[in-house]
Amino acid sequence: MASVKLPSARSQGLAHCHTCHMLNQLPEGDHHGQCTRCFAQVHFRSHNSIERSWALVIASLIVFIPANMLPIMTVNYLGSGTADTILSGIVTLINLDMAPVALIVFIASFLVPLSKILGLIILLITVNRHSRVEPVQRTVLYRIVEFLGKWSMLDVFVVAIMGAVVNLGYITSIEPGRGAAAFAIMVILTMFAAHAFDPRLIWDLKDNE
Amino acid sequence: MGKLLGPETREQLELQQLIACSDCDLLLERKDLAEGERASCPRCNNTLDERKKDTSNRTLAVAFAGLISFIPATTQPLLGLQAVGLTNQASLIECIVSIYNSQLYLVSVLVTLFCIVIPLARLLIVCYLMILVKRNKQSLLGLRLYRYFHEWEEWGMLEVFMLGMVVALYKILGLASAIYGVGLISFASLLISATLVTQFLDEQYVWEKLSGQR
Repeated sequence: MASVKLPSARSQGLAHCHTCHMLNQLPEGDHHGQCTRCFAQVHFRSHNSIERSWALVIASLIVFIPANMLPIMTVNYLGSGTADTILSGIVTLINLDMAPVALIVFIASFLVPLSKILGLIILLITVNRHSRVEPVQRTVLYRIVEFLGKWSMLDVFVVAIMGAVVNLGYITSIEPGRGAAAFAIMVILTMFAAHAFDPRLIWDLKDNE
Repeated sequence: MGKLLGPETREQLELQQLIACSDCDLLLERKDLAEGERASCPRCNNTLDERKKDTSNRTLAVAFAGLISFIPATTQPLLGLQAVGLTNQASLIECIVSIYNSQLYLVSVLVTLFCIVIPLARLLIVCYLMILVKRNKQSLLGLRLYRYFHEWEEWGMLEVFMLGMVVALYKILGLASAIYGVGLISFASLLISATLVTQFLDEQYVWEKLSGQR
């Protein structure tokens, strides 16, 4: 396939609509316009994709620190309270002999957000350097990052459920902590970062060959 | 698989006979697909188009089922716990109120958006759209709503909340004995319906119907 020149829609002056998948012929010199079918904004390539994605990745890395340092909930049991961060909550689960659940929480709350950020950094650096390495695999990486997005909200929802359900006054109660808010912000930032990245940039060099 | 274009064929084809891959921007010739057929990008294997069977009836049925499950799923108790003769249960709405009372206003707004507002809006929109499609109506409002339906997709988080309940259940079992509420079953049914909507919905067909291209 390498010997055949594969035309991109852009090389033919056509912009693909990301919402309804219609092709739009843009006037000469324009880089964006409105889709003729669904009226969404269409671009040859997302505007400032790399810069916006980098900014959001860095912001989410910064918020990652308070999200893991602040307690996401405080468990009160017979008058004594212990504050749990995400990681200490996982340790608590292991101590309660619930290793499988601890594993789910560890993957969803710690591994997933970090690998999402790492994956995006790899994509951004390779695109910045005009890398020709494995475009198919990098596209798959992008799809994984995009798919994983929402799953890191898991712990925020767990805290919301636990705070309402576990409420027996003095005997036991759970108080949600500030960490949950920081964590939610971090997840949303990574979702926007993945959204800002335009996977078509991975393929642009191949088309020019 | 999508059909590759030769260097000279581009000029001979109309805009509507072409399709581009959303992930790698490869330009291809659009094929008319038979029911159940799927076209994928020959370069990056992305799904380009898929014809689905009886899409408007099936989608409408499951979307309606989802709307019915919606009320008990949000208002009935999901989980509860029991210890030394005391019990406490909470519904989805009570969860949101409780987190609001803990002064985590942002989190309460986000849970409301991701688990109630967006899933509900998307189910209502898809019901309305399927009625338009069944009646062969073109609609500008329909096109706009359908655009929102797609743009909000990743912000609907019913499946994540479901997993959250499973994790919470295990955590509760570590403290006391757990109670399973009616809301839990309703929520599962809501989640299944919402998932089936995306399974049964023929995206491209609905765009073409609403814009009068088909």
